[in-house]
Amino acid sequence: MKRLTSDRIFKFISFPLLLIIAFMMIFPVYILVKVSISEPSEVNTDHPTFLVHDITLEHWKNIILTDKKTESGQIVYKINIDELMVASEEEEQIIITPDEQYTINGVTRKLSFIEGATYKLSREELKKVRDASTTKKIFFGEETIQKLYMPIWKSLSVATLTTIFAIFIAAPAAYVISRMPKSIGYIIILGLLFTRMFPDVGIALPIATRFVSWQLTDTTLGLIFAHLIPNLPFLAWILVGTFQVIPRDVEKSAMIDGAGRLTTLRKIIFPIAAPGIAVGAMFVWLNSWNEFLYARYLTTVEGTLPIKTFEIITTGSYFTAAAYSTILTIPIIIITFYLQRYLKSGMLSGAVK
Amino acid sequence: MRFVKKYWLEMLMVLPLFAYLFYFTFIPVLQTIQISFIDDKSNQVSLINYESLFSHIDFNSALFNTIFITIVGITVQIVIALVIALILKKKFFGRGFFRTIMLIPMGVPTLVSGVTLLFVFGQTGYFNELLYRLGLVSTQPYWLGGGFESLAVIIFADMWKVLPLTVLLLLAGLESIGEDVYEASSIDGANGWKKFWHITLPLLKPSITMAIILRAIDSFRIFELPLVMTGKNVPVLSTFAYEAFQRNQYGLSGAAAVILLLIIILFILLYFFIVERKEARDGR
Repeated sequence: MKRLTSDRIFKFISFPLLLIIAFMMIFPVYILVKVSISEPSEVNTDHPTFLVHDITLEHWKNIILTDKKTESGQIVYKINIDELMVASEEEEQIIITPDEQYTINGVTRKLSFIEGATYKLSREELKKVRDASTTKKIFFGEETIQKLYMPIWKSLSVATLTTIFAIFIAAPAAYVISRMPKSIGYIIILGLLFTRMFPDVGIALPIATRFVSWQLTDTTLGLIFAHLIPNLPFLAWILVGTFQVIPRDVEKSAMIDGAGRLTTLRKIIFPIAAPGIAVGAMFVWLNSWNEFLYARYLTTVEGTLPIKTFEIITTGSYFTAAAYSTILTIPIIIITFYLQRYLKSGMLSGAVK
Repeated sequence: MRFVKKYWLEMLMVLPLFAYLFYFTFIPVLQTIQISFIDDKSNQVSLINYESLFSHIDFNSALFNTIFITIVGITVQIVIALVIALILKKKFFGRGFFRTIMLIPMGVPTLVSGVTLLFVFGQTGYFNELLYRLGLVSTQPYWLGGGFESLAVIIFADMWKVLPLTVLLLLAGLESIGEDVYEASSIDGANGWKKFWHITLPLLKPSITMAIILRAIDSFRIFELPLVMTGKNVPVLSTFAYEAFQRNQYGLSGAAAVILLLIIILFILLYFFIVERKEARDGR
């Protein structure tokens, strides 16, 4: 058959176009990881480098490990060698002796005596001070627990419990909706879709004020309640499609064999639907793990991981934010790739119909 | 009573979902509408929130930004997603690889995509560096300070994040069109462009409608990206409502949320009105 011009043009441009788009899809993710392992000098300049020249794990260490601290809550380095020369901002030479204690806020590169005087240090000098210090970085230090492990734990528990509640509430309902007469079921599904139209800011406002009086702000339970709001209709919507595929004959024959309605549901229907429920549950877990808006409305002190990441980016520490963002992303990338094969056809085409 | 007796189990199974949605979605929305008509100071029913809303300079730009981001963003997204879906539908070497690559942004939380694109589009970011190395700019333009360039960046960020889902939706639609339709049209002598215009597009319309509706609802409610990337430089309705909430101006926040709800409903009604009416006319 004769090849026609428009077909040829399409074929000709499609591959380069695909390459460009694929590059655009990957590039930001690469930048995220790159920033989290770059030397600050590579990023904090007018002309940042595209490739990683010196890999540093310093930013990761900073968020995973805690410096050992004194009672005053400041970081203390004891200098191990006999004495250390340090130049202050006014080019004064200060001699530090082993008996004294110093506080160093690593990122701002300041060295200050506990008595209060503050001196600027260059990065190299700071490094020398650090290398000479006997202070150890430890896992599960108080600071790390507060800043990293607690938010991770909160995010994990909220997402997991939300998923479990969502399944128990949405799955039975979805089953019943799937067995309703077509017209009624269609109206209910439209209704579920309709709840998606409500702006979250509109729902979160009265919820937040209500939760204050119920003392649910800052609690895991409060967040679970909030996360169920968008996820219940979503899961029910997906699961109606899953249950619709199961033929009614299956349950009829089970009933004829003498199984009660509950037994039929428990032993026949839900096991058949289990893979579909699992996929839907993973979507709910992801939604909840990512959720930002409700968490922002309902959090004053103890944030989830997204909230913590946002707080860090607003303080301007890019490298820490990049590392946090990477941690936030890892589980999702894994689950998304696992879900990929389900994404292709069944679920979405079901959603379109 | 006989109905209850026969269907008690079914009712028991549906009840929690409906009760939850009633109590935690429907009632809050009504409450928000109620709050929006109450003056925070005097607790009287009044229109003062709406009056101060429309005289608020941030609100007017938020309104414009939200609508602009949605209309322009969705148009661009659907066109690009359609092109990608058409390419990915064809069988070629490495298709599976490209499909997987396309999915990556879906695995990135919205917040993180905001953070990442902040690195890319910041003043000393990688986009400026790319332009500089290509010799396109000599200074470093600031993309996130407000104005049209910031809106364009947000539209790009939103597109980056949701393109996989849009592509998948359209791809699912494309793959449900049978090969025989194309074969028949080839015999009738239709070329690629004609096939696309007269077969693919009409048959794909339900998928496109679905994609537009779903995306429009999400795009009107856009929150994280403007908040993370531009702070207060580019207000949208959601961030405006949030800022008002933070300042304890509940009435103002509620009023902004109500306006947002109205816009979403209006958009969907308009869309169906225009598209469905055209369809009815074409059908005649």
